[in-house]
Amino acid sequence: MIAATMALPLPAALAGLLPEGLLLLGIVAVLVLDAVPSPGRARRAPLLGLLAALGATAAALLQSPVANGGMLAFDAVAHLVRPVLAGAVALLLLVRFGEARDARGGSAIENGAIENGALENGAWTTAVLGIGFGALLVATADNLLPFWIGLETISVASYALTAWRADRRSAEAGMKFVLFGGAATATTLLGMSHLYGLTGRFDFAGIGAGLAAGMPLPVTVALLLASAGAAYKLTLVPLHFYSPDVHEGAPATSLAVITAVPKLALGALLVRALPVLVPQRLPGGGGLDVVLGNGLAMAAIASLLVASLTALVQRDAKRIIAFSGVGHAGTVVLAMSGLPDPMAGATVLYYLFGYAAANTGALLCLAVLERRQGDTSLAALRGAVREHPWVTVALCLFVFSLAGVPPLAGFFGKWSVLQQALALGTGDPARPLQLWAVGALLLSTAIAAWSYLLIVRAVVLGGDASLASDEVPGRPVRRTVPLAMTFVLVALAAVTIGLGCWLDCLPTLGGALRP
Amino acid sequence: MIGPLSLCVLGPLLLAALCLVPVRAGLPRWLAAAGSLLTTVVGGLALADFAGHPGADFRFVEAWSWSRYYGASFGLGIDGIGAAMLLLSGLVTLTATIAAFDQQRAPRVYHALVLLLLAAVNCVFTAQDLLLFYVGWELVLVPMLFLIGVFGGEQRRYAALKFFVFTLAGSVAMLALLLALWNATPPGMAKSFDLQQLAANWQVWRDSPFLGGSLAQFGFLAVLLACLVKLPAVPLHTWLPHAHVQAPTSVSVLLAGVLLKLGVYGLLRIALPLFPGMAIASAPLLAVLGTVGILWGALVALGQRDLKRLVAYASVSHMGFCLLALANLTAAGATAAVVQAFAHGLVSPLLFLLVGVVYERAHHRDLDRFGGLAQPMPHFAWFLLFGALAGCALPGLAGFVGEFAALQSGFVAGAPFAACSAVATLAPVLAAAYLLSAYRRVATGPLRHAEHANFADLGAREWAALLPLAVLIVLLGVWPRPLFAAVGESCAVLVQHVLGARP
Repeated sequence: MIAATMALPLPAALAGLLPEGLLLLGIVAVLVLDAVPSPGRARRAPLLGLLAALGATAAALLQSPVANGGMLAFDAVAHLVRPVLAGAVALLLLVRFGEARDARGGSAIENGAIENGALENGAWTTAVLGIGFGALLVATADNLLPFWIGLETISVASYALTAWRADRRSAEAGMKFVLFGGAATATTLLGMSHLYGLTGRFDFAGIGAGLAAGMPLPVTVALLLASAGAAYKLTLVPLHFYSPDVHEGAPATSLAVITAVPKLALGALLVRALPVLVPQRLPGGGGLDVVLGNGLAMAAIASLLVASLTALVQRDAKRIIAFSGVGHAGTVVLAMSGLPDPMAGATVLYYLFGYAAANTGALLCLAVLERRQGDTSLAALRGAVREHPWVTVALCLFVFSLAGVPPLAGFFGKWSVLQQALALGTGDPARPLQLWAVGALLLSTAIAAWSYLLIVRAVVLGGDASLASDEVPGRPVRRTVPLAMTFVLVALAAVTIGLGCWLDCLPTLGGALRP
Repeated sequence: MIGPLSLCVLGPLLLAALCLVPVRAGLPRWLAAAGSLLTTVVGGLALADFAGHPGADFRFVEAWSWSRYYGASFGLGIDGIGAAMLLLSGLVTLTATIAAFDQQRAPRVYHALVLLLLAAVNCVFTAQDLLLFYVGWELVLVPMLFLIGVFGGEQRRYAALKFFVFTLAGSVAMLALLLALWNATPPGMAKSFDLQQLAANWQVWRDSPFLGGSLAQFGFLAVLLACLVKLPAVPLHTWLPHAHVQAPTSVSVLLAGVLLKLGVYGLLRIALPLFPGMAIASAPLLAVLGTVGILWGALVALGQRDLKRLVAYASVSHMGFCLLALANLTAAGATAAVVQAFAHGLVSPLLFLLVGVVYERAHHRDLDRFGGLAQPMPHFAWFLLFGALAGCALPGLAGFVGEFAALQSGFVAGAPFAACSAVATLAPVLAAAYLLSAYRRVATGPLRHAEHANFADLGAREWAALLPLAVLIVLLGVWPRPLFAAVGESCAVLVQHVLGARP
């Protein structure tokens, strides 16, 4: 294995790790400097983190894909995803930086949905950088070990961010997350140890070779166990049910960090790992890719239907977003069922880029609205448009993208997944489930539209304080939003519209992934 | 180079964004007026061009590549049918803007939404590319959701969500069709969403298997579903009365004048040319659906006490004529469908405006609580009588032209169509019953309530909205030839294409 790590000359390998290194450096700097009391401390931690994340983004952007990097693969997938991950972390830290500055000026944050103590800023920055570090590691992993380290880093930081608010609901959500996440990662570890025992390898290609050489059944069982961690992070049915409770309890700003970024990293990992893990031909004949494809399609159908139907009865915007996440995860694995075709990989990434932008944007908008009454139940969100007209417009845009209204990113993401599944289903009689999955996706789109509309209805149409009623006494209080938050929301909205209008993004990604 | 059609699509979008800039509160309504005037002028010029030089070709064509991979383009162009619809969309939006000129509640948002709606509708009417068509088709839902949901009446939220979900369910099927078409393009053929190319390849769709049937069968049903919801055809019409009753007057005008026309246009532009074999096979069924809608709408309208619900069901009845005419698959029938859609797009907004006039003064629409309004409001009463007569197809007015042409084309098209047309002839009689009785109950007789005596007659804004519509109704009634000339050639070629699929 040491030989494998040394496949690249040391300076090149270190250069490849520059983004991760910069994030680690940021974590260390924040932790050390946070111990030194000084007047500007509140702003310093987010600023340092922001600089580290920007540096990591630039470093990831400037790297060129390398064929073989040992335990880590600096391939086309990593090349496409790593700058996006680091950039997302930078945007989220920018939000925090803006709020820290505003808190110092004494505006914007009224009731302490996020406490702005200097120490809190340091800890928050560390957690976010940690998630960024873990995500980069997962997205680059070509081996179970870095995958595991990355996954655990993300998980531990996520637990902390979930239980961030010092109230019962937040603590309860954090506890639930710890217990469930612990069980899921323990299962993963069990599967990994079996994989190592059966094949003697930790790298994906080696495991795939072991699988092709024989023992398909035990290895398949071990693989299933090992994939539990990925399924739980993606919130696939039946490993999804912690997610709504975590969403309800955790502050929306934390959710913006712990939902989309890890999913994108995992998507990248699976796009790389699945084609090599699962050989095209088994010794006895028959393609495991078809078996895998059907399995993924089945998981997709379950997730889509459960998510869209359960979302209908939710009365909290964050819970609706949680079930939306379950449904979108189902769509992503449907896209994965087309692997090892590079276009399927491109579809996964295109879909996840659009999802990440819309989901993060929606949660950030909810983070702003959450501060009005301390929670995001549909009743509490009523009439938000009067106080925050522009944030509400942005929220509607992101929600419409999640619902799949053209010409937004969510629509063309769904479109490309549907198109691929339809082509697979009609082209290959061994994949009948693809067509059922297409049906499930269309049906769940129509059903889920209603639950997305519940959010729109609450913020725009709802309540006596809605836009339409004349009887509201006095002028509405227009609250200001920090400049940094505005900038981030505008950037995410631009991505949501831009990805939607740039239809050739998908073939471009596909071209980049083609070996 | 930006041509007139992309100006009609992108112009309103830009103006909508400008509406939201908080400069002067009075500005947005002028922007909305400018956007709809622009559409009216372009549509009018295009229609005049087609009337002067009849032809089935597409004019004002523009095309930018959108996606090489999908073969999608930002392609715009109109034939006579598109020109008529574009003109209608401009006229109706202009009327609605005038009707809402004194909009008090959130005028910026209101006019921005109207402009967004105009852009989306214009995109549908001018799109030469199926993907672009679909984007416009879906985008119509978003502004309409807010226009009804924010600015509507008591139950506005329920009505808005019902409208959204009904029409979304219709369009999800169309989305599946788009994917299936792209997927079924044989390997040797360039993938494309160009509507004319898709229509030329109709045999490919007929011969492609899909889900146990042929792609044409699935596709025709999908488009039919999407269009019949919008049209609306019985039994998919139940969202319409709700939406109309809850919507404010100006939004009802838009709904009746423009949005229902999307259904007719979708059938003519997508369902018939792409799947001609299925169109031939299901023509009698469509005729029956149309006739059922005509009679059902009229009979339910007879029983209404709410004036606005009455006018909404009258819409269902009148739009049934479009379906009936289009079903007989003759050049005259298709032309009649477009003319009837145009005529309804003038008459129905007029009636909704008049309902709005009464409602603004009395704050209710209960027919049993009016009476004698002709005394305080003589001009209103004249307009109401005029609208009622136009609605029951009095010769010399627009409604007559459309309905006569529709019925006449049916009588000469074959046994099933003649039978349907014969039954549908009852509709003008029923229309006279419900519309004239509504006039009687509102305007004639002694004044029922003393406070009604203080009602002011039509104001300047109401005159400005009503008079142009009335003039156009008379104009179309006595001089329909330009419209027939502009639309006829395109319809003839379309029908010829459809009948070419006859075995």
